[in-house]
Amino acid sequence: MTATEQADVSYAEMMAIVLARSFVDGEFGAIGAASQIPYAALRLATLTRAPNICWLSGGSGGINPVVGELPASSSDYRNALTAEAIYSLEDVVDWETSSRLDFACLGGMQIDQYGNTNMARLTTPDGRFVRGPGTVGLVFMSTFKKVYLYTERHTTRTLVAKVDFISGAGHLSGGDSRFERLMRRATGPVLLVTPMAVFDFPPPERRARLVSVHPGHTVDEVLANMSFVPRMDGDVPVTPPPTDTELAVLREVVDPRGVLRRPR
Amino acid sequence: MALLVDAPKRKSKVIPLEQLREWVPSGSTVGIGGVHSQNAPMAAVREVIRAGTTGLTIIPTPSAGIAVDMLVGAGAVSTLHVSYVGLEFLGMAPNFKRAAEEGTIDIIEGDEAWIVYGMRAGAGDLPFMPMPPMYEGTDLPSVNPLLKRTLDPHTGREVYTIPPLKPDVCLIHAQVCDIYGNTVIRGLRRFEHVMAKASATVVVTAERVVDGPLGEDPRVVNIASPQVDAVIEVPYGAHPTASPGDYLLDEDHLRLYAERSRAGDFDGYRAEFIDKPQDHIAYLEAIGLRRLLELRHR
Repeated sequence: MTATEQADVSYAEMMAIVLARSFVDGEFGAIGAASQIPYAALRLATLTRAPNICWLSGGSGGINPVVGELPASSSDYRNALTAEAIYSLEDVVDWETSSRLDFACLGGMQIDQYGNTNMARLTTPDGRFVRGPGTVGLVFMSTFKKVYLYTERHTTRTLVAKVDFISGAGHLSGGDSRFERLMRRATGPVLLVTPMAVFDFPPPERRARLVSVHPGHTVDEVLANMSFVPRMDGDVPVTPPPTDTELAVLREVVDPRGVLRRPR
Repeated sequence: MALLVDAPKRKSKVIPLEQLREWVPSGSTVGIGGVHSQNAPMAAVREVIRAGTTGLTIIPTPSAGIAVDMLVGAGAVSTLHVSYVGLEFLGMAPNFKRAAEEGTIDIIEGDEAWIVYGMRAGAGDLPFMPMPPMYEGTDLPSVNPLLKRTLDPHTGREVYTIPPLKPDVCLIHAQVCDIYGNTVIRGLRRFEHVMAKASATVVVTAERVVDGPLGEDPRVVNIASPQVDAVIEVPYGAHPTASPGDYLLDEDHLRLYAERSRAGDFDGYRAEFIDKPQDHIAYLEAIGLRRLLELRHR
């Protein structure tokens, strides 16, 4: 890959590539609505390194859809038409509730240092009440076996020390606090991917740790744009840049129209 | 033996759209079908607004969008069960957000499980639905007093319960049905059949209503005639959302709706696209034949 192509990698492409590297082959997962990045990540993973992943495309109920362009909406019925099978909402919710989904890719309007998420309501620092769209499937963060968190907003407003309202249970107040209330087989958030960096939630504290910073960004920039100081173990490495194969498959097969390269 | 030529005929359930107001009186609890910008019963919603309906309690499917936002904008809603109300890739639902922040509607803070299990309980007339440990990790019980705890008699464990949700009437958009209400919802096998079971009455709007044999494999009929009370034929009745297999969502119109609502001009939108076109055909004329044909699914 030329230096020009490398410099041209959008943050959405970088996030999709990071997520694609993280999935475990053979697992069964789900994504939510408006999920172009995890949609692309799952397609990329199944085409490059994890062919046995099965995944549900959010609102459509479609399993392993292969729409030729990234759909803006995961509930786009074209997902259903190109899927291997379609499940009803009842089926999907049964799997979610009974903790039979290995993973989900989720976000929130606030994500905190323990991976708790909020989509319902918050109060701004100047005291204004802000309504979010609602908790929807985040309630199943209690039951998904693991959760990959992602957000396209690496900002002080999104990455907060403590969410105003817990829609989705992360590691609650850290340590083993989650497992005092919820099933142990649902292990909570394992990763947080943003446009600038990657975090994980290692025990025993299960607090966000800065794992790597994407090419073109600095640790200072990452820290200046969040409202808590993550754990850092020594020098933080650079996120490995996309390989030629990753970028080729992403751009030529998964996202030929360049949806992830457009201004977002 | 020959059939009786003068035997009474099976009754058609077809009603004109204008009669919908009799089925959705002010103050009723209304279920709304569709998922995000697919299969929302928009022609029905516009008619409910034209009728000046108020004081509705709305229980939508878990991923609600413009249908609910429009009812809120028009002042038709007093209470709303919230799992998700938004325009997905087009951002927040502007009228819902404003009403919630100004406190002009009551919100029952729910989630996907609240709607799905609540409707399932409603469908079977179960007293409640007990849940495995989920809500224990969230703040939902602190703002939703209807999430009540009880003792699981089998394990002795405390569990959260979801009450049955039972709309007085639900509004469902379908691709085709017959005049007796046998209903085919194509594309996404979603949740409308459960909502229909939970609802006291069911009104189906359809792209096409067939007077005669449906001509479908009976296994694809999602909701059968005994459950359906009224049928309304409205071509492009889901616009600006999509009708699977017929037409795609109208992104330009959804953006126009969102932008005008965000700018505080929902009333202007309403005048132009709901009140001035006094019926569904006039609405389609306001959208324009060229645009409607562009949206056809290919």
